[in-house]
Amino acid sequence: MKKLLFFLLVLGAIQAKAQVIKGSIDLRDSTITRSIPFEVAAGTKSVKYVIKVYADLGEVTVSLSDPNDKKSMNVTLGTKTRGGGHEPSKGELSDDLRPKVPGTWKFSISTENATGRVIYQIDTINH
Amino acid sequence: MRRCRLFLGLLLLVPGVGYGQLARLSGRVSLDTGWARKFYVCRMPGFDYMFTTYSGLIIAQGDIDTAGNFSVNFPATKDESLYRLHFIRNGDPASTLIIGSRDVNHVFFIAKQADQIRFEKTAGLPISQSGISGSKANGELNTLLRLAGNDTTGNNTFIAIANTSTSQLVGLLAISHTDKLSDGQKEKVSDILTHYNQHNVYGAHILQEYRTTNYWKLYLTGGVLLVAVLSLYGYLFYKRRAILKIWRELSQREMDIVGLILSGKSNKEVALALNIELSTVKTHVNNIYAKLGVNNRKDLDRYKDFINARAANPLV
Repeated sequence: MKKLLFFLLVLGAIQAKAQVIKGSIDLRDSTITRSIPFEVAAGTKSVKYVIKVYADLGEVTVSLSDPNDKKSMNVTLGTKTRGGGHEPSKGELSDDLRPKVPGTWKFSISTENATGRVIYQIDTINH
Repeated sequence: MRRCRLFLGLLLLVPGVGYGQLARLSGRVSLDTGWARKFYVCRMPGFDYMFTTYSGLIIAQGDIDTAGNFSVNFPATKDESLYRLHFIRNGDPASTLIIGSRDVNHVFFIAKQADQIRFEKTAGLPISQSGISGSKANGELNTLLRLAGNDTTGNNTFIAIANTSTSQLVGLLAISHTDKLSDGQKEKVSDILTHYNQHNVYGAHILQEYRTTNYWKLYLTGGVLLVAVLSLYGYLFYKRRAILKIWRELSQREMDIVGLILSGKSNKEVALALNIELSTVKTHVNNIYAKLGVNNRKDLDRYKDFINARAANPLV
């Protein structure tokens, strides 16, 4: 009986483990729009994300929208200097969300003539 | 000349006067060794820029001394503007924005010419908005940003802030945080905004939106009034037509009698005027009352217009 309980606990723990989405996008004078959707089930405990953006040139915008397309985060990194030149920018965006709206959430990464890199990791923890 | 130099010297000694078109930011921070000993000030041209970073936004920068002190004079306008103070970690570019983590690297503050803003960060604690001080507007800004970071803060709270804030910039920022307002809330915001400077650059979109709303309201009110006037006109038109229809049921003799009655003549005088018997007049009057649905002479007043028109044009 104890073994069964232990087995069930382990099974539960495995199920409670995060669904992880991770990846990176290399940008070379790129003008792109990339969506990174992730599912939030009813009762999802938390969504932890870390997005690191390195922009050497151009502009990178990262936003997070809920299933109703309401933006809950929107960050833009540019590289323009006051003198008309360019300087690198860096953004580190992270949060531990407690999403209330179930459905498909998405990060949108749009770039304009950007050179740099975007690295992302999204952990969805259910129950 | 000496007096002039003395005056200028004194002027520079008096904080807030000597800065002229500048404001001053000073502070003391305790940062661990992972952080660079530098700080940067960006001016936010609009609320949309609060989470935008690029070197072009940096208007002032400086070094942090070994004791953690720093200060800088930066260009400021007569009206309040929104600024961002940020720090960077070793090796990071100057325009680095860190959001959400314990290593959040920035705070916002409001300043205008001659303001003296202060930022404090104690050891072991993250960089926090509450470390900003130096004016009532910044106290209000700190409260607003703290509430805005809380998912449960609703529209009414933001509207209340906009209503009570001494800083229009804070008020506008509060309004910019509202979402899906009810008609009543929209009306309240619209009312609050009438007390705001209509040329505040931070409120350009908001003020325009609510001005549009007001125009829309005006058009709606105008439309409702137009419909009401047309309805009234239609009602009166059809009522008059109905009366005219009844009026035309009278014989020529009965119309003559109504005219005489309306001119103030008694039945006897009518009989004399028309050279008919009094009893005949009485019969005519009873018939007239029955046809027109009236009970007394006073009620005949509503047919005065037809009598006048008949006098002008006997064919009516």
